Amino acid sequence: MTQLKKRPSIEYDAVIKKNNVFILLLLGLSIIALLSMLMAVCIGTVKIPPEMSYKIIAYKLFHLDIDNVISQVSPSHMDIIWQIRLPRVIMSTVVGAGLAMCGTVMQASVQNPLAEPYILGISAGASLGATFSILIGGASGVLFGFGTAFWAFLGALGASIFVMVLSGIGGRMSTVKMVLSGSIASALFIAISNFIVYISNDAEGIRNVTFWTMGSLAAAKWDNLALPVIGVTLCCLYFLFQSRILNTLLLGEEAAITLGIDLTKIRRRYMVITALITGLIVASCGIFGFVGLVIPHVVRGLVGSDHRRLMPGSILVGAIFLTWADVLARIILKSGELPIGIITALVGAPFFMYILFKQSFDFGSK
Amino acid sequence: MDLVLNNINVKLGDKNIIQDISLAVARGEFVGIIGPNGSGKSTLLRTIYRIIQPNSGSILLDGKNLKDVKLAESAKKMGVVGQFNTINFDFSVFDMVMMGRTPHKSLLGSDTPEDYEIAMEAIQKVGMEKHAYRSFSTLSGGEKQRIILARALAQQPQLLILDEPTNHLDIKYQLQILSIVKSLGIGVLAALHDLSLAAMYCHKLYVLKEGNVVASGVPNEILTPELVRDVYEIECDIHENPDTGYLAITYYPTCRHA
Repeated sequence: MTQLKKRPSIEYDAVIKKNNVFILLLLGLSIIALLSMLMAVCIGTVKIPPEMSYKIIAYKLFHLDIDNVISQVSPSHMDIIWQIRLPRVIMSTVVGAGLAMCGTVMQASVQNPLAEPYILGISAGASLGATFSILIGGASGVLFGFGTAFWAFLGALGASIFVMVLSGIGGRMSTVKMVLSGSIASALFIAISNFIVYISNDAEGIRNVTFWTMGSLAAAKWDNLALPVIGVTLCCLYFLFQSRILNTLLLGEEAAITLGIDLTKIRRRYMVITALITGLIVASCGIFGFVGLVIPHVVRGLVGSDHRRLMPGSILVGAIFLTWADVLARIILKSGELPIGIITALVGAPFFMYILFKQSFDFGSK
Repeated sequence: MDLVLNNINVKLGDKNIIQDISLAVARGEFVGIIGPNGSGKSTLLRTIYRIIQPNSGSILLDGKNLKDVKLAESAKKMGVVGQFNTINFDFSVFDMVMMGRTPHKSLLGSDTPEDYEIAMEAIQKVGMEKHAYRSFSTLSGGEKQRIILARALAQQPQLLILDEPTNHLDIKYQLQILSIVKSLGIGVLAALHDLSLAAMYCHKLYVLKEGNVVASGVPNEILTPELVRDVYEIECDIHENPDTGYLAITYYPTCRHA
């Protein structure tokens, strides 16, 4: 019996040690995320020296006039840093974190490593909502500035329900049924969006809508930053404390229930929250795919499936990834900028293929 | 801890799967459910462990109607080893067993040394301590089954529900799993395939046929060739081994045209 007592404490020490290593890793990732943001502010088609950029930010934030910076800087540089680049960098960080978080949560709640807002057509639903609100005019009126985001949320929620119901028909939700339902949802919602665009005859609106479908962070401004930042931050905090439940969900429906998780309630709640985040993100920067797919997978490879590690890791790596993806989008072309959706798809599609092959192999053996 | 079912009816679609079943598992009692494929064993168990809602009747756990008990509460009292345990994501054996602690933890509560101790003891009880650090997906079917049992043990339940826990196991591990479970001294309700094993381990048996209980009682008293013929549609001889007291069941081939 004494031996029984002894072993567990060794186990506990090992876990503590592992946790310490992980905390160091998180700290490192946080620092990288912060540095990425600082570096991203200095990169762009207009060359502004880094120290100048930081002085501008310091001045704007704290009214610190280091080395008389205001007299040396041209107003246009000031605007580029403060009005264009900084909001955009913050937006990319937040959106990256939000998408990675959504992917992680969706993968756990349907126990499927392929779940992600874009692949499941949730983004397309959000984009339909946004298109509807811009071209048919839901954006004005009682909901003030929240109109587009609200409609995007409704669209995302509608798409989530659509996909869940469709892939649940006839018993268990299989990977194949889910991915097929996702493509059906995507095709359907994009077709309806396009139809609305086609009949609306509104040049300004059409330009806006084209922007949704390829994704761009160019529209980030201080004004439209608040909603995504607050939304994503709150939801990240919420899900960081849901790790235990998320872990249990990975075990499958029956096991989760026998471990005391009220699956129906939890799933419904998670679905609404991920739809909300997807809606907010799509409303502010359009749809672009695969971030929610790739990031959780890479991080799972690094730290394992335990959400106490996976969730914070995914959020940080997602933020870092999208910050740099957007830098790339801004500088890769001399003539202008590339929609970020192209970059994420170029990275994500081959990855998707890889997982699909690996998965089908796994499913074959079961 | 005791479990009482009163007149449970379960319909799936239009089909009556469970008809008016009442049963009881007393504190520390090992109760078996036997019956052919499709007789409703799994459905009955899944109704008890709350995957399926009964259409009528009540399930009392410790005198309280399960309908009024939160899932998290009943999970502290009732551990389950189900039939389907494949997962798409991988965990280490130890982490898998640690999940058994979930119902006892609040959302923000971190794992304490006691939790690790309980998990490690559970792993030792099923004899898997050498494999505690392996990843779950690399285990064989039988080893997985033992780890799922360990996870249920980590819940520190007073009642274990087992749905054919010895499926896919060779005879050594069949005996091992049932012996482990019996040695715990807690209430057990298990659906079992093997009649001799059921007779060997169970204090009480319920025999299911087409969703009805057709017999119940002490195994050595109720297991007769007549009952087996009626329920399984096969012929057999049943004798009590005079040395061990266990039932020996000899089956006859069924092929009529042989």
